[in-house]
Amino acid sequence: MSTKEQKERVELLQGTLDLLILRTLLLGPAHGHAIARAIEVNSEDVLQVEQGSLYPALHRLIKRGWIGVEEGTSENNRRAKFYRLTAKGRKQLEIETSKWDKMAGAIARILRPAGQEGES
Amino acid sequence: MRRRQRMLDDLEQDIRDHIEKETQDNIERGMPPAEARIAAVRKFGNVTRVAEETRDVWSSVWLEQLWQDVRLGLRMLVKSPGFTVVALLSLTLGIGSQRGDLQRRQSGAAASQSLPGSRSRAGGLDHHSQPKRSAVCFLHSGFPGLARAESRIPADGGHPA
Repeated sequence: MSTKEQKERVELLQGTLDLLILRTLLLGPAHGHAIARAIEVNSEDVLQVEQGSLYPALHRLIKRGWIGVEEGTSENNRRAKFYRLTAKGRKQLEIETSKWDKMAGAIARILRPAGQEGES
Repeated sequence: MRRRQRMLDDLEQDIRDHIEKETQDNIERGMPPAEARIAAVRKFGNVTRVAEETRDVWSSVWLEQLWQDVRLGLRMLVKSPGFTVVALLSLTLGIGSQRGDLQRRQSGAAASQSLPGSRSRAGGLDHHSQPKRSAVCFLHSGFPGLARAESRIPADGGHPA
């Protein structure tokens, strides 16, 4: 991996990983590695997830009851933990998503005041 | 608590599986196996720190549960003020009387132990027991039930009333 390639990737903002995990699990249960891959692929490899940071986040979400965990077998027939969204987590995802939209909108308005919108 | 233990017991295996899967992915993308593994480990980050942070997530669980219990308890007390008053009063009286009794015994024992002669009994106002006794009186004034205990102090401690 070249340094140029690394520079084009963006570090994940604090606290957004939880939101991305919840959104990823909306598509169905997945194991840890698959969640990390899905976030990278769906962000077109722009978001750089230090994959290890996924685990404290997953445990935090389990503790809050937003996701559940069940044993299953992964695609290569190995035992794996599958994480799935709970009803509570689904609700939380809606709350977090609208919070995120508000914040992103507000920051965008500050960064690009009305007159300069032609660029985008 | 059992869920926490189960999750943490499996953590190391989960991390190993994760790095294993990433290594496989890298090999499928055409990396030589040794390089694929190094890349996977690098991408995962610091395993020790991850394990520590994950453990930290659960370490505050009991504290949060305790706080919830306390809040529930307080809400219930506010809901039934009659019960609260009775409970508070009986606790105050109970603890107060026990404390008074203990203090009386201690000052009595201290007086007879540290000053074996007749000085303290004759002099009465030695520096240690006088403030204690006044503290007891202060604590218990207003509780008629304790007057009995106080009235015995001069007899045991040897102080003039």
